[in-house]
Amino acid sequence: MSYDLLRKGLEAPICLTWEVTYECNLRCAHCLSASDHARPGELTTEEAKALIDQWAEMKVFYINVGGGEPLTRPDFFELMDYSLDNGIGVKFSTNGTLVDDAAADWIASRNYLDVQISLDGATAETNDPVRGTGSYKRARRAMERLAERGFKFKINSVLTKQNFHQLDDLYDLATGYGAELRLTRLRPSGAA
Amino acid sequence: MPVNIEQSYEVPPKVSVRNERFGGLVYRYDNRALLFLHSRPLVDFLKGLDGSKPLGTALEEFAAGRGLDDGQRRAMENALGQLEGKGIIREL
Repeated sequence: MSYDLLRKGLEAPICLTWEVTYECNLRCAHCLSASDHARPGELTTEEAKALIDQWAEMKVFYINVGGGEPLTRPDFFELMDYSLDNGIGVKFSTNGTLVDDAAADWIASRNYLDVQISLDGATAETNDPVRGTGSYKRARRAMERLAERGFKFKINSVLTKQNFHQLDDLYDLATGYGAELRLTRLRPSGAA
Repeated sequence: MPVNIEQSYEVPPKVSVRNERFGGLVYRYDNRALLFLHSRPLVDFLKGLDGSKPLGTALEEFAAGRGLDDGQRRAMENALGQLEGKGIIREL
């Protein structure tokens, strides 16, 4: 009987994917959401919190937060804390460029927070043509900051012809930080 | 592992429980484990489990309130033992 009930679906989602802004400081060639600048009508802090309230009431267990670059939102930490305080776990994706010491402190001090940093090559020569000049160095700096604080993050790489030969190096790079390497397929959407 | 009915148990803060038509879902934030519970009484019991009394007492009171027979109560006790193994409940 309960199988029939299961087929009717769940009362609420288990998790949600939330693109908190289209604003981004990089212009990656394969960007899934073709992000560049914030669009008119993006949620205000209060509107975003009202949504989180609804998800908490539905008992959504966690949210996958992306964008755009989520850290470009000035209220990003406020919104994520609001979510965590309301019993919703947070997993967010970042390009790492804005993970300064203060951001790293915040990340390392929160429970039930997962962070993945995007890197599309084991060297700047492979990564930067896709993600932009200087993006490799800045992502590595973010990784160092998190690793220094003992935070276990994930590295997300979109597998391409350009970086395929560096798979082993990417894996070594990740394990060097105690990080997990997550490989994603290229999705032909957005700017890709 | 059987539960210790002399001891109080709680659902730790890292665990969330919610109702579903088929029973309920349990989620552990720390390791992202998701469990499907196909028993509404078990879900209701977990949601009321606050560590205020020994587990055996809590189970007996719950069974009496719901009109569960001994077999059903024992089945819940066994299920709780499995949930303890998965970190969904813990002894205080």
